[in-house]
Amino acid sequence: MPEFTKPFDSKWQAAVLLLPTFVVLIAFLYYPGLETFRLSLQQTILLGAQKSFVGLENYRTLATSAAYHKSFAISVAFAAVVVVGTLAVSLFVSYLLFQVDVGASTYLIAAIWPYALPTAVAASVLLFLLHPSLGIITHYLELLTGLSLDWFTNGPQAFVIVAVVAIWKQLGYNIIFMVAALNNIPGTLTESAQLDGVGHLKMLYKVYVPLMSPTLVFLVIIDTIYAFFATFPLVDLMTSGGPDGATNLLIFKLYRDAFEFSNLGLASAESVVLFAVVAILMYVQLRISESRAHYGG
Amino acid sequence: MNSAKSRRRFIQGAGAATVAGLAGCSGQGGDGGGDSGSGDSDSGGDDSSGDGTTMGSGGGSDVTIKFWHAMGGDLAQRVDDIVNSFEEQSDGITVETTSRNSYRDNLNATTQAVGSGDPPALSQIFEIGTQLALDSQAFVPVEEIIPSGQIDFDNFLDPVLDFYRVDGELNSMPFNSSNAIMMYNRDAFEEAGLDPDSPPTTYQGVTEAANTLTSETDITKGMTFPNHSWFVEGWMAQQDTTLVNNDNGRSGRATESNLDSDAAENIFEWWVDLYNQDQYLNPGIEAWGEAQQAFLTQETGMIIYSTSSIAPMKQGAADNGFELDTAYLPAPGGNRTGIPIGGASLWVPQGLSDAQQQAAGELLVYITQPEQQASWHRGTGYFPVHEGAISQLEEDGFYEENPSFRTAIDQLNETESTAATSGALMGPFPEVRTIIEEGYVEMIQNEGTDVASALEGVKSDVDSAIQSYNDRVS
Repeated sequence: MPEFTKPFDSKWQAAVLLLPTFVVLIAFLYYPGLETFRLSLQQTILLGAQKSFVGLENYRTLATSAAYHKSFAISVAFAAVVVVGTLAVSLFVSYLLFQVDVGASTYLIAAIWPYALPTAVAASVLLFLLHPSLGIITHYLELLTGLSLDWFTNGPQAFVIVAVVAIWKQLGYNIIFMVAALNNIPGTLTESAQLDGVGHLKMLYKVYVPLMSPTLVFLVIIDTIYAFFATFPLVDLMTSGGPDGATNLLIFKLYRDAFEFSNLGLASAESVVLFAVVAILMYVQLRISESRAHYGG
Repeated sequence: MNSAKSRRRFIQGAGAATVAGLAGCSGQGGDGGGDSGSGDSDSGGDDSSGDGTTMGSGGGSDVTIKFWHAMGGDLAQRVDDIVNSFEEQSDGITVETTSRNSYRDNLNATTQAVGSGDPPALSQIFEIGTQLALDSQAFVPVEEIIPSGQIDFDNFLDPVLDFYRVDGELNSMPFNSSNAIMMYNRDAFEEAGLDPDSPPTTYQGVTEAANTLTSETDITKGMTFPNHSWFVEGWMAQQDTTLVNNDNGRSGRATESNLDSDAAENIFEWWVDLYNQDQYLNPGIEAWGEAQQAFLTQETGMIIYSTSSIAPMKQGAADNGFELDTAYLPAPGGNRTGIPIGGASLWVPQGLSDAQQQAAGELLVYITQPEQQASWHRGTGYFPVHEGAISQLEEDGFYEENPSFRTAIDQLNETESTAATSGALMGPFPEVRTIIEEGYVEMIQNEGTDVASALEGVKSDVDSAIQSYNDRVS
């Protein structure tokens, strides 16, 4: 059927229809990307009020900076915790949602609600709920556990708090996709597995997860991007990278270097490195998962 | 079938939620965009009208200038009031004020505006941006544009001038200046059996009073103040030690900090000890709001704060049913050489038309007149720059009615003029502040941290920030 393989009358028509997308991509992605790379080869003060070309000097500074190494390690650890945490909790919740019979839609909406909240709003609200001396959640947590929570002072605690908030914030998105994937699994499969006497947990890990794997691969990638790039408002509003750099993620550090410490050149270099790291990670994830994911072919 | 149906409902719900979320996001973005957009369109309008008038008239008549500042709420209203009264008495000058939320945002916006050739005529820049603004070469020293004979700088308050005068030249006009000051809860002092008329004046005194307060009253911790490098800088100056070398960066570019000095050690030993004794409530880095809340809800009996907040703090204390009083900033070992001012000053960017520059000069002269300064001081707590304003308020009996303002002025007047009390100049000051503040967190994070060796680490981080900045400008 030629009309299906050739949807457009001419190549020009296709090009014209693609044009708006490319204009937006070039103006807001490729051009700023190139400009960032150009800036990363310069030394600046004050958002480029004074500039000079220095070649790879900024990259050399990053390679030898202890603060940058620490920030790098923290970001990688943070991404690992957030990706694994988000997937594990959403999988569990999705499975419960899939199994529940009464009030399923109410539960689902409740589970994805946090995703509807803008990150900045969520961060502000949680800052007050979790505040070490004023927060109500902290108050009861301290009563229950007997621990003294002071994540304004204690680095590891702050890391955990921000990671938990980041996971919570991303649950909704994952659950939408996971529930959709679970609902796509043929009921006959579930029935035959049940007849074979497969238990709930085993059913999830041996039957459902392999069948959902394309969705899971997609979510791993989206969550990785989220953990590296989209958690900025949480850090900015809740900890400002502290205490003592314990939550100083790369994305926050580069913002601060550029706009607060007026070192735009160095921040651009950090931006380029972060981009490269996430791009490589993406490639590796796709490669590894290609052999594991079942696309039903 | 049933499950498919409900799934569709789920996805619809999800879609709606996503759309709501996106709408929230874009709404925010729109706000920000709208903000800068309105600024931009303002500037577009200014540009044409400004240029038009410069070309059309020989000067003296209609000109529009922009005044960008970082004041919010009540303070922004006061700035507008001053500007409005200036417009009324001026000869065809229109001033458009824009509040840019924060000092950092305003500095960045101004630099970009200078780069794109459409700068404001006046921009408010915080004191720690002074060296950065100088190095950007984007500004004209105000001394050059003030019409000669219009301002007698001899009548200005020395501690204020000292800060903004670099190499003998006044680069920017001091606008809102303040000091660190201690405030305390008189009622709690009385209840604890402390004399509310003689608050502690030394580190030792504060620690003792804090312990008395917590053992005798419901107060949980004696003292709070934001973890802010500004206070550390003040305590360094009180011990007549400069924060950085080369006379605080004033006789030459600073290359090294004095954070390994005995003076620095005294400060951090006390501050860490206060925390370890459970007498310091740590509100967080530069957390003014949290510190204020802790003091006003009577979690603490003392707070170290800024003189610019005396009026609202007094009101807050009254609302919470206690009486507040002010005292000098407690001094390490009773050393009181004096403290540098904080706050901001007004800078005039390059690239203005002659008529605009002249108008900016006139506005600066107007702002610094005693009448305007007196009402600014009375309304905000920021120091007047003009001594005449103080004598005028003294005649009106203002200080007798408001002794807490008296404390602030006395503390300022007793400040000796030395390199240490003039305040430091260095390009990476904002970064240095962050390093110092994070350094304190590191010290209290693990009990038993050796202050001296922690300070070594802070010093080396600060020094390499200075070094890296100097490399960039040279």
